[in-house]
Amino acid sequence: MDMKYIYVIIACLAIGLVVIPATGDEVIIPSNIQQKINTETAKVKVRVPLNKPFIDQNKQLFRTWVSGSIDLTKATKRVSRRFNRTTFGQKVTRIKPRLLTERLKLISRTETPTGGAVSPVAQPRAKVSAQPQAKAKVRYTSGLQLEKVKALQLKTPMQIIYREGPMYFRFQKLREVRAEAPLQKSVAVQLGKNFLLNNSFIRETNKDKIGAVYVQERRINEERGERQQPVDYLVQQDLVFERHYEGKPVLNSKAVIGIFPGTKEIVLFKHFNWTPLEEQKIQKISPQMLRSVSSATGSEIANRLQQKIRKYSGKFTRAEVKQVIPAWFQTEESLIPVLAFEIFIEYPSPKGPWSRTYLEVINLAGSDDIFFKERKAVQRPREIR
Amino acid sequence: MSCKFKILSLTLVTLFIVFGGHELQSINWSSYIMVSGMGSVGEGAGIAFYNLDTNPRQEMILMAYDAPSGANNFRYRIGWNVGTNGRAVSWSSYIVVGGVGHVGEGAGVAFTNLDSNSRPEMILMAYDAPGGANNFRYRIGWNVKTNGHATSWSSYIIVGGVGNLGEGAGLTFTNLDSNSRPEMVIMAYDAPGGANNFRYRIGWNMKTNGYATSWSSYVMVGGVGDLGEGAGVALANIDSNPRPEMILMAYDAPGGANNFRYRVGWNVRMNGYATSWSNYTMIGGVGDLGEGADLALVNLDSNSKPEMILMAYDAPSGANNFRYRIGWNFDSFEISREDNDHQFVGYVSNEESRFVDYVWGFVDEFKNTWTNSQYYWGQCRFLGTGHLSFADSADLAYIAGHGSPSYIVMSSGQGCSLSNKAWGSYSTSGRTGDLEYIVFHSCQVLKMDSGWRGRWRRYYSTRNQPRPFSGLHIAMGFRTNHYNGAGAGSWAADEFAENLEDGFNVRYAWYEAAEDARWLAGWTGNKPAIFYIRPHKYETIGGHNSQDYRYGDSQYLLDAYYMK
Repeated sequence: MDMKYIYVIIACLAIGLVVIPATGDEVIIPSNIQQKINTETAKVKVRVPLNKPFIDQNKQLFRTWVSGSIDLTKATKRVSRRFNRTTFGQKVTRIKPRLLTERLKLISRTETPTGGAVSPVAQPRAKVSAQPQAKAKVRYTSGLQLEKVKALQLKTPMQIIYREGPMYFRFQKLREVRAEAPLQKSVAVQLGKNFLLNNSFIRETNKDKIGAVYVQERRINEERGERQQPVDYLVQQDLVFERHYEGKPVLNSKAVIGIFPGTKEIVLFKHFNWTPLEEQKIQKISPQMLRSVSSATGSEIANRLQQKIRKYSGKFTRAEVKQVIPAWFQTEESLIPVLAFEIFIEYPSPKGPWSRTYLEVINLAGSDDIFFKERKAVQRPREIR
Repeated sequence: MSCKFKILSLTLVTLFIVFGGHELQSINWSSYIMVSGMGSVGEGAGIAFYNLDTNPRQEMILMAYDAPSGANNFRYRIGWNVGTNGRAVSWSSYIVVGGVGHVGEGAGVAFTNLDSNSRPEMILMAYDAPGGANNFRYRIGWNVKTNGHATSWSSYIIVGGVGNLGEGAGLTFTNLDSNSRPEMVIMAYDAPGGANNFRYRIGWNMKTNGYATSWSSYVMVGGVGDLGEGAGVALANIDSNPRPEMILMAYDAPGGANNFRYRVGWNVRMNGYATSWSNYTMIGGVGDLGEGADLALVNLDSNSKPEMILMAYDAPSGANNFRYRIGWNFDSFEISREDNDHQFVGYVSNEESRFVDYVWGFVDEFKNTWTNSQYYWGQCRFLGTGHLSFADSADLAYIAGHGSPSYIVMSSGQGCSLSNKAWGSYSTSGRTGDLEYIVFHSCQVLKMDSGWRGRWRRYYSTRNQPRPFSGLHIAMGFRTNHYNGAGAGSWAADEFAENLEDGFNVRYAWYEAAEDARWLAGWTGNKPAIFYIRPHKYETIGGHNSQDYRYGDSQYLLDAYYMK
């Protein structure tokens, strides 16, 4: 065979090798997206340390609040094997509604904080004995300033759950009541914000704020009989609060208040990974430091993203990164910078191509394992004939 | 056609639509029939049928273990010639037989023929409760005459008990082994702290003197509640297998009205053990307080299937009375043969590795609480032709793969339509389907468009077609697309397992897990939906053995709990 044909074949094969991935599990990162990745990764990044005394103070705060509904000394208790948290459960037949307008009573103390002028927000406001360095200005009583509400006698026992971890609090009454109408969104959001802020469950600063608030409805679609129209009704509104730091979302911080719209009774209260920060102690991460723990350049980040999409999204025919969202993630130590990517992805299926859009996240300051560090090694299933 | 005829025709058509069109296969239960009691305080009661006189109709014998101050005594009445409607033509006044102690925690009555005389023997038993361990004590009324009186009574015979506290007891006779002499089965509803359990002993090959050749140690069967006010045992063959079934019943006493709960032990072997036990079936009770209860199987009508009679000795203030209900034409199809293990299965589509993450996330956590019996790469037959060996072999199935409304891809190229599948104890005529809960960790499988109920439950027009809710309690998934995001999928799976372990009801356990994980998925999709048969609305995994429902049951109503 003439050598020039061999060269042509080799050239075609070479081109083919380049082209084949583009027609198979192609991951497209458009140039404008790559540019944004480059820009974001080139910025000097910071970690913002958590204000750690607040971790324990939040726990005291929650314990005080939930004591109005559940007796933790009598409740059943289960310690999670996987997560650093404990669940308490109690069945009750008599309950006092917990209202959005409820306020924890604060009692002022005479001593003042030591150490000079401190930001009133960064300074802990609730007394916690576990952290001696945290000088408290005020403390919470064990009692609550409850609105005068009548206790309800239930026909059947109701389960109350309280789950608690260092940065994880969940209170829930497993109960539902049919609502006539939803609470107007703006009213619900304002009441919810007041509840969170006035009771210090969330402490806003100029940089650390409540971001978007979603109002989700839980509904029941109830059958009325074989030949009758079903009835669809609202049973709960959940106010979901996002957190923003410096205008960027903190992906895993979340507060949710679930209410009965008619009575504004709180039946669900979740507070995850929303710890006040020591904003004055931000830690800069130089590109050199970053390189020692992680891939840091724009192209390296893009490679990590592609690998991740391929690993988790399997047999797709096409994937395209549509958007880059600079964001934060709260670890047990600090807020760390991450990039979230909106990805459009397409799959083959017996019913024709399917597509969806989803989020993928890359840690700019280290390994992605932090996103779910409790996860154990995955075992693959067995093939059975 | 006259106006009256038109109205009659219309009424008949309406009645056919309302009743005749449904698959009314459930046992038809009578309301209760009351018979005067024989005292103010009872510590056990029993019921038995036997033909004592020359009339071909059987007699019903109702017995109470009366508990005045001092020594107890047995008292029984005979209902002569019970008609096809379950009512006796007349009732005798009560007959007193000396008791066997001062305190009883259950009692029973049975007839058999022990000696060579053709007249039957009546055996009266009480579960005597001195301080410490209880014991069974029975007396034999030899050769009961046609007037219902025994020719003579034995002194009592003691058999070791099965615990320190009983809340009911019963006895019956049968022949389990190849020896022609009958076996005597005595049972107590033992009441330790917490849940009760049934405990029975077998007296092998009863001799003509009324003593057993030997006694088995006790066999324990899970109970049906925490508090009982009577219990009974019966043996009969109700299926096509030649071995008999054992029925254990307790009169459960929650706060408020009582109810009867029974379990069926299928095909009792020659060693006295059942091959498997059904979940319990619950039948409405006859009052708030019972001082004894029992059951009997007898054929009263022309249908070849027996009737089940459930009786309680009701104890209002003042004099007690017997109250019994008749379950007409008792059929093995009425009893679920689900097992009582706590098993779950996990199936994974091979299309994406994240599906492994989802199912493993659940399997890895939940296996601490229940037993994982299968963890396989998915195949359509697991939900379809092979469901009894796969999804329906366990109580909970967790499945991940690409989905669309009532459709899931179980593996590459194996798209699986779900609307023509049936799961749960009513999915087959043998009632062997076990599945109560199923999770589709997939996009849109539980989409709530206008036709969703028609795909999931049976209606009159589809009553003969398979549908997923055929005894299934709860289906869970997403009504929208599901995004994994930065781990929302595996996070939700883990949380679901944790929530179940923490006592959330199943419906909430899924909703909360899906909701908790939404922060990782960008908020747009991942909206959970849960479809459930209404009586299972608040069910936790501890209640997975509760009664199943199917088309034709009045409570077969499919509701949805969902995020808008």
